[in-house]
Amino acid sequence: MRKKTKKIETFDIINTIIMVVFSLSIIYPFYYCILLAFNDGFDSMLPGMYLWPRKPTLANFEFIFKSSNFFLAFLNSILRTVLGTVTSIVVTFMGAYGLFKLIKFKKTYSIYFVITMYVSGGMIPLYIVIKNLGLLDNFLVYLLPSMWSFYNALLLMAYFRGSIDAAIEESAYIDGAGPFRTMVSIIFPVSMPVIATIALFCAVGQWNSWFDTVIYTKSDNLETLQSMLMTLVKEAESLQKMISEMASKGQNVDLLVGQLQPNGIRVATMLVVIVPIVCVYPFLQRYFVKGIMIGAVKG
Amino acid sequence: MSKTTDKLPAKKIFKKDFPYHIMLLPAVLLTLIFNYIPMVGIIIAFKKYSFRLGFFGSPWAGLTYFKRFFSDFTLPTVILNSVILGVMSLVLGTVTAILFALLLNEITGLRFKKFVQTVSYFPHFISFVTVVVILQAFLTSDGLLNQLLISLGITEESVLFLGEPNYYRWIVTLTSIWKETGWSAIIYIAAITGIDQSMYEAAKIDGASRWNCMWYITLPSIIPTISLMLILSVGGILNVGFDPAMLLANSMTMPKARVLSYYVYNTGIISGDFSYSTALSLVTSIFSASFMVIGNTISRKLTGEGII
Repeated sequence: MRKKTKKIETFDIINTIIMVVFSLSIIYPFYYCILLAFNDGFDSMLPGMYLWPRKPTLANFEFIFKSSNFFLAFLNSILRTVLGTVTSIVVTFMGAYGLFKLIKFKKTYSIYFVITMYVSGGMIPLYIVIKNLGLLDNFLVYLLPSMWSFYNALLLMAYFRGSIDAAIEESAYIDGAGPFRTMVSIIFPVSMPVIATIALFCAVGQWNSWFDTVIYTKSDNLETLQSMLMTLVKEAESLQKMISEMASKGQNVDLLVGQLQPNGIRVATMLVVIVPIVCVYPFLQRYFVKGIMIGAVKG
Repeated sequence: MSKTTDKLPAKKIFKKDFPYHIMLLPAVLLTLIFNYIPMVGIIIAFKKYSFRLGFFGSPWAGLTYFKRFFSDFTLPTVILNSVILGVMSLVLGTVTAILFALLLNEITGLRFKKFVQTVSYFPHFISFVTVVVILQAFLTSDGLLNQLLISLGITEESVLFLGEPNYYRWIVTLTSIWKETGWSAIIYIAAITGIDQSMYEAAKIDGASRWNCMWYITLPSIIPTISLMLILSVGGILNVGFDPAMLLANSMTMPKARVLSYYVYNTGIISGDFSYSTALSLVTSIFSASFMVIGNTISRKLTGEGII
């Protein structure tokens, strides 16, 4: 008996250690980036800074906030996130409610949408379509392709089925409200919990998206924070490459290493980019487990 | 309800449905433009596509572009890269997620459990660009890892982790594990919650240790979920590695980083060889679909669980 209790304790200790190490492996990289962002760029290259900033400075952030690129990118990121979320909610909610209420052709529409979940044209034909529509280098390219989400419509419809009482709708009709009026002033407020969930995920998706900027835009006017960060990442990569090439030839690399100063700037930009995510994270977390469950049941 | 509507004449149903058709109109149009027209656009894989002539006007080319696969010397390595990277992240990613779910389930302190869970999900919500910035902070020549290695005297000169082709796959796989373990574990955690508790009580009476319970009760109970998730992800094996190839790879690691999706992007968008890259992506998706079907059949045979 005594032996058994001891065994359980060892298990707990090992398990706790594993979990602490795992959590630290996620937290520490972010923490270290905070250190880098608030520390002098040249000083960060010297070993020994693990827990506290050694030469605290706000220079990295000052540099970012002073650059005109940053403000444009920030504005674009905010714009695409807000507009993308709002338009997507409007189109998706309207479509979901229409599909929910249809008496005839419900199945036809459903098949029409379900097919798109399994078959896609792929990257190149979509690119050609977008190009032919004149959406290249156009802000609308951030909004239109993701405006309708059948997956989100399914979530909404599952919610309608469970929580909309036919009696409420009927009383609205009796009071003289048409289908659109009923949708806006009765169904929309009732569906708020699930709309909030969808909006959050939409917003995070818009905020994080970078590939559409790379593939569909060329002008600097449409740069977002993510694509700006990507440019910084690429610069650092090419500098690394030059250093390694020079080092392999036995040349002195000190001069180039000196140019790595933007390290701090890159990391500081990254922190600015994830701050909004951190802010909405508590809400995200509260909702997403539920969302995944609905998805799992459906799948 | 349906009985009364069945009796309505078609005209009346249409009148009643009309506003709902209008509500669906934007969705229908968007789907048509961004899903169906590109699907039709796949025909350019069989045509010599030119922008001027469009999807339908371009002359037919038959299977020219499919035959070109066999003379494309880059393609074998690209396929190999995709498969290796895909299998690595699928196998290691799934194993870690299951292990994490099992171990998390054994934590007794509720607060600690919640904390670990909250922390583990977070990286899922940041973009891969952000992740690459973190990787650079650790792995560049003056990054934290090199600082540590040098100050501990393990290496004399800094190691260029991100420039070394042999490290690339491991860096990508470990990064995706770091980013997605918590998220992928959610489904397993949910499955574990649904296990009948009386089994554990019976096992305890028989003197089973916690390790035994985990191994002989929890794990077998979530096998259906595991096989379901495996089937779902097997179809995605060939899509693994696009983001890292775009953002993390450089000219030195590119030979190992070039995966199918990236190759399609590069030959299509960058080099403008639209027909060839569409042919390539068509074949890739056919393979992906058949992987899923094969995975489903195997899983049916072994565990009796499938999705199709």
